[in-house]
Amino acid sequence: MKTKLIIATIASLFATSTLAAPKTIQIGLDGLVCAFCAQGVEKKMKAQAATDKVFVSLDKKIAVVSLKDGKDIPDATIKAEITDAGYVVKSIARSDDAFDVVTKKIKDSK
Amino acid sequence: MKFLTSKATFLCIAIGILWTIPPYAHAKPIAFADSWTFMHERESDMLETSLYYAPTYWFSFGPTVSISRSAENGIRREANIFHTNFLLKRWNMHNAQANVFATIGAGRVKTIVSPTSMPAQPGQTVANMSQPINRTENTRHATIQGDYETRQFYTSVKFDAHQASSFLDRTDMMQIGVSPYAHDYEDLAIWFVAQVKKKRGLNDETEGGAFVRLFKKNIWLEVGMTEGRRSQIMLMINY
Repeated sequence: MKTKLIIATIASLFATSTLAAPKTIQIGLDGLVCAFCAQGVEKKMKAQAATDKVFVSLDKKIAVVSLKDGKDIPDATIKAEITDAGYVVKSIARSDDAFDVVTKKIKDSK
Repeated sequence: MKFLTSKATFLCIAIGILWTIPPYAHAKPIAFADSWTFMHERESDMLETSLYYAPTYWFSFGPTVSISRSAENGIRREANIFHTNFLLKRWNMHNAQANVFATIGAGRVKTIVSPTSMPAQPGQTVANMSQPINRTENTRHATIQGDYETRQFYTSVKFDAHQASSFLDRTDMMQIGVSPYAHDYEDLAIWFVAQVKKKRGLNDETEGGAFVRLFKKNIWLEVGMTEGRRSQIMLMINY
């Protein structure tokens, strides 16, 4: 019984960690050189139902998307939306870090 | 921007330049997908206002109203043209972007010839010489332009032709711009731009110019002056 309980606990912890939705998505981009570029990317990503906030850094060539609780945006959708905005996705990374934490790190790393 | 105390200092310098050397422009006809662009451009011999809607990042359309005149022969053109703008090719690089745009438009143009600038014609009386000569006709407009830009360097070339059955006006232009610092999205971008423009048709001249471009978020303002000390200004707003 004890063994079963331990296995169930470990299994539930594992399941929680794999099912936990990310808080932010960081999208590496090529072609970002001006405010128009940033506006285009920002507008496309803000239009997503799962998006809460968007931050774009021309310096780091990155867009950070804050996700609504429990929501996510599939990679294929991100690539399609960015391509539709006229830019190229170089990388996509998800993080459990809060939006403010991620954007502060980006701003501080200038 | 480390060599200056703040961006405000740069803004002050830019404003100072605007006062000492009055002001032109050359902007992208498509800002970004699902956007509206308002452009107003003013030179000593030209006034132009456009409103474009871009459903995609590679296409926009909308009306343009323009007035241009020749200082030498008293000819004035008033054109109403519907434009379509296409991004033919974009190269997205890590630290740069290059584009080729084409614009095609059609509309009506009224050419007004001042009587004082016309030599007397056989059979013309003093009475009818005082009347300006008006001619309204269909017109076509085509432009192709290419640009390359990083966050601190910008260059572009533009070839523009405005044609009707009675005239062909052409303008070729090249610009090179530099920014003293690499701006970010939230920053005010300041550019110093040099320009050479060759006009044929309504005006026949080649003229250099310099202007300052201020660009933040969705507002783009350019002011400067040609070597003939003629002012130029352009305002562009996107939303």
